[in-house]
Parts: sequence; C-alpha cells; structure tokens
Amino acid sequence: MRYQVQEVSTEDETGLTYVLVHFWDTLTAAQRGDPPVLVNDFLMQLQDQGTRIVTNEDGWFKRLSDGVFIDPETLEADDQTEWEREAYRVDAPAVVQANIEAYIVRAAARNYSGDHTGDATKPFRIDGVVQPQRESQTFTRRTAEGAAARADVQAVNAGVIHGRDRVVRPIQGGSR
Amino acid sequence: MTTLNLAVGSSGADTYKGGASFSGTATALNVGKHNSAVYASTMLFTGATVTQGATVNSAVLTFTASTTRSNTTVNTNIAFEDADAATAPTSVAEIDALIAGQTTPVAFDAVGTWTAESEYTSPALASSLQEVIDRAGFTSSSVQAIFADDGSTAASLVLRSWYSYDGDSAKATKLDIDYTAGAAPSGNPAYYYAQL
Repeated sequence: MRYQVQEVSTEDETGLTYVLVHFWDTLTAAQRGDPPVLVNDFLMQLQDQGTRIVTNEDGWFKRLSDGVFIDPETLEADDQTEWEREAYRVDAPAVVQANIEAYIVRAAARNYSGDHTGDATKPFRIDGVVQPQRESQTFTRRTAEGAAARADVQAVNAGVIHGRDRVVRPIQGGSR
Repeated sequence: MTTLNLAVGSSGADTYKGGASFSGTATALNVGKHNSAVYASTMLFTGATVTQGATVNSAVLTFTASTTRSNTTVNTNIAFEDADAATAPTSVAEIDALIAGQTTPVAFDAVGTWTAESEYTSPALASSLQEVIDRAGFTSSSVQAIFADDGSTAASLVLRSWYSYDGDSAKATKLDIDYTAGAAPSGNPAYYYAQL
C-alpha cells in the first residue's frame, strides 16, 4: 500500500508520539486525490537518544574493567560482565516508517479498510465487516516535543507518498 | 487511537530467570534451556493506553536477536501477566508466580534459527492480551509479556537470545497492538449510534 503521513505530534497526556496516516492501494490513487482506503493513527514510544554497548568493527563488546573487546558469541547465557556504554542518536524516522509498514502487513492480512482511528462516526471494517466501535477516544495534542520535534522525524510528514502499490494476486487456475 | 507501538523503556523493565539465577540488568534476554536450567523472560510495557474492554485486533511482539543460535528445537509459550496494572518482577520467585498466574498462553514451538541483529516476531497474541484488557479493573497503563520455555525443550544448550533494554535500548522488545475501542451493545455499527 501507499501511505502519506498527515501529522506527527506529541500526545499531551502520555508524551507518546502521535502519527496520523492515510493509505491508498496505488500511487495513482494517492496522486489523483482519491479518498484514502484506510486511515489509522498511531501512538509510538519513540526514543530520541539510545544507549548501547560500545563495540569494535567485529561487533565485539568492550569490557568496562579493562577495555578489552570480547566476542559476544562466547558469552554464557547468564553472563553478568559490565560493559562500556555509549549514547547514540536513534534513527527515529526509520522507526516511524517501520511501525507503519508493519501495520500495512497486518492490514493486508486481515483486510482492514475504512477509518481505524477510533472515530465512532466513521466505519472501520475487517474483511468487509463493520467493527463495533461505540466510543470515540479523545486525546489531547500539543506542539511536537522530543523525538517528534526532530526535523528528520517531521520530514516524514512532508507530503511524501511512501510505500508500494498493493499487489493483487490473480486467482490460480481460474478464469472469469 | 488504534495502534500502539510500545517498547521496553527502562532498565529493570525486562528480566529473565535461568534456573536459580535472576537478572534485570543483563544485556540479553533468554528463553529455552541451558543444561538443566530452564529460562524465561519478562517484558514490561508502559503506555498501554488501550481502553478497558476494547477489542484487540492484533498483538505481536518483535525481538531483535543478540546472538546467532540455531541449536535444535526450542518450544515456548508467550502470555501476559493477568493483572490490572503490571509490574516488573525482581526475583526468580516473582517470575515463577507470574507464569503460574498468566493469561492463556500462545504456543511458539519449534522456534527456528535466530541470527544476530535480525528481527523476529511472535505468533498472534491478541487472544491472550484480550484477557488483560477485559479485566474489569484494567488501568490502561501497563502490560507485561512472559516468554517461557514450555518444558518440552531438550535439555542442552538450546536458547534463543535477544536484546534487552540494557543491551541496546533501541533494540529492546517491541509490542504492537491494533485495537478498536468499546464494543457497541448490539448488531448495529458504531457510527449508527454516533448519528442518533
């Protein structure tokens, strides 16, 4: 499916990153302004900064006590060695897109369509069957902060149409 | 709101036990068996703002393998802590208690080779998580997954290992939940009620 991010902001109450996305089956449908076949919003726990163990080019861990690099494949399952750690900038845009693309896989597998944002005024379907959705969930938003405020994260919300056209496989051995 | 993309978010929020050993700060989590020690791991997810009673359409865990392991068959179960608000265990006894009182587990058997730095997903866990969301007192705050050997794994070095928060915070276990809020009381669709 093709998708376009409509909004990236920070949910006020939880501090999670809110991402609103529209989906189409094809690039053509998206470009000519067709209504999206699916709308969904996400609350993502994005990290701005991560922490990890310092490694060398072979991926060996740097031991805190003496700076020696150790092959992690040689460690016992219950290893308790203390390792040197470093902070690093997380590729948050890649995480946003990976979360959306994982949703596309689930949406295709279960044939989601309609509005999946918890808006009770609009139908959401699974395999064509409208799902009970009585209560609209309300939430508050604010100006993006943390990971959501990063220019590279906001860039995924720059009118770009991501993804691939939906592939409809022909029925094997059949004819119309 | 219908999709939550959660991740283990702090040291001590993911733990494991291996025999009589416990760790909440190790660089990797484990499941399976090592000699005679049985391994089980727990992963706490905060920010689980699913409305009590909502319908879980999909729930999947994603693990990033920390070590390449291909040795023989690993048979496991994945379930959730059956609690209104989950809390991370701090001992082997607490993990054992979580397993004893968990929701209906989903079998994850014959786990294949895990290659370091590759991601692997769990089976569909919606039914097991639904039991938590359906609790009358569910607080929409935290849920905890329990990934444990099911007792049938052969007793040798047969583990699967993946990054904990302390191993690499951005590669810690993730939980993706799709849900629809509050079921309507009869066969009419939700938007029907909204228009009344």
